Amino acid sequence: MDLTLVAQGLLSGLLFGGVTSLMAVGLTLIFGVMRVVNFAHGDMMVWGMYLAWMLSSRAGIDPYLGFVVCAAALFVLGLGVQRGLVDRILDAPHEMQILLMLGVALVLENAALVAFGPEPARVRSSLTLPPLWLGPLFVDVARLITFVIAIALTVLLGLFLFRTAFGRRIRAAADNPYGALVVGTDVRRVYAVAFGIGAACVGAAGALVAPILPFQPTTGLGLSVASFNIVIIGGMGSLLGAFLGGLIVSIAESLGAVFLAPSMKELVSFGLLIVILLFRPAGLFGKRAA
Amino acid sequence: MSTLLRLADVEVGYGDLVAVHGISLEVRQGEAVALIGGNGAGKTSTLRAISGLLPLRRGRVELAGARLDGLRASQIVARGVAHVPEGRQLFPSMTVRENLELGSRDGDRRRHDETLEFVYALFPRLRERERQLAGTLSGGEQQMCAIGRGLMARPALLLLDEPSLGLAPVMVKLIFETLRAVNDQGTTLLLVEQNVARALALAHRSYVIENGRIVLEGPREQLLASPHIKQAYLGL
Repeated sequence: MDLTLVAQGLLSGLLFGGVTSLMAVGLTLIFGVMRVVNFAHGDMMVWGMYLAWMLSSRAGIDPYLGFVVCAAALFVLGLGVQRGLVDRILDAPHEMQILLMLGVALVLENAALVAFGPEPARVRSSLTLPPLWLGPLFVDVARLITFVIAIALTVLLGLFLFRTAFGRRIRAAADNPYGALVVGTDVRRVYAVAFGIGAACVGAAGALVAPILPFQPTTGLGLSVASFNIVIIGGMGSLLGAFLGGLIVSIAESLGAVFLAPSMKELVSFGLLIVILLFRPAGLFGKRAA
Repeated sequence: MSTLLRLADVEVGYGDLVAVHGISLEVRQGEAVALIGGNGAGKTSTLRAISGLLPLRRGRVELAGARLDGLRASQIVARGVAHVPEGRQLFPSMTVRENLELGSRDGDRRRHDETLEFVYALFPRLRERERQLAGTLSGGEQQMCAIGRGLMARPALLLLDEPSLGLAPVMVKLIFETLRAVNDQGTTLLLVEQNVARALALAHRSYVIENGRIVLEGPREQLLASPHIKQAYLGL
């Protein structure tokens, strides 16, 4: 086995991991605060991709700038979904939430199909520079930029949650919703904003990954499952777990593609899920099995 | 003394169950009032009705003449009513300091710091445990943290639900001494308790609630002299 190839796999996996982490952080934030699994997560990401594509093809805005607009648009979408739909069923049994969120996923997917057609699309960034060489390893510039922005956004989210008064209220509502109500938190507002931020994360992730990955309206389901997998590996509701889980899964898949056939990369990530659940049923950073 | 809190004919319940049958009570500015009664008498439901955590089915709640019923819990906190709930309801995976700060409704940093200093002076133990996660505190420390969190709102009225529940006698004594000090400094208290002896000792006036109805009301001396209280609550 060529060590350079392994190192290259590690590096590519790590670079792609930034955006995987951002996607999973969005999902775990929504779950941690509301105990709702956003099954429309991947489809929201696909909408982030298509918005980036529209901005790029119609207005000539590069996805590495356009991601801001995509994040803002998905924030509004997430806020609307929470206020209009999720808020009504927060106290309902879990299967109701699953049905509702799957319904949202179907609507988003089919709306994308109607709007953009079934053919795969791809966004070209004008920043297509030649790869950088780190000794024998090459660094794809698009992946590097995607990685840097995704990590920066994750850090910003962390600062918001841990350093601002509103972020503290979000964490409090996640920790004890009744307690948050007692101290006078407008829990409905916190929920709406948290859902909006979770959707904005995945919207930005979609825009950032659009220059790397071709996509089509049906891409969403796979992305939802991938996010869900990472969040379980990291520990449901744990932000750090989702962040590190995203990097770990991405590296594992990338290495899997070196050692196994590239088409078998999912085998690696779901194998990882099974192994981690065997030894740590609550995930890497989960507090305990609920 | 002017009336701070007035409940008139308040009825609340859960589903088919009526927990509180049209009770009326008053708390005057600066007073400490206790609501005593056994398990399931409707004490907690009454407090939850005041702080907007349980909707009223009938009647009204007024704070200094302005209606509270119908407002959301967050709006009621903003009017100066803080609630130290049953079971404390802290944020277990956040630090003691974060728990306290979440009780604050001050945008002003300096006022906020002053209030925090005031709470730390009342409960020096909380200062020592400032960076510890609230979930790792002992029961008594958690109760201090819950009361401290309530005081962080600089409330005009502090509602306390069974502050003595599950605590060692030494801790109960300390908590009640602190509540006395808080009341002496001008915060009005409405306290729900099963520890009747402690409650009567702290409160200027008390209401006795049984099966969702107020059956007795009066100043400390009068209730202590009541044969019903002696027999049913003090075991004398």
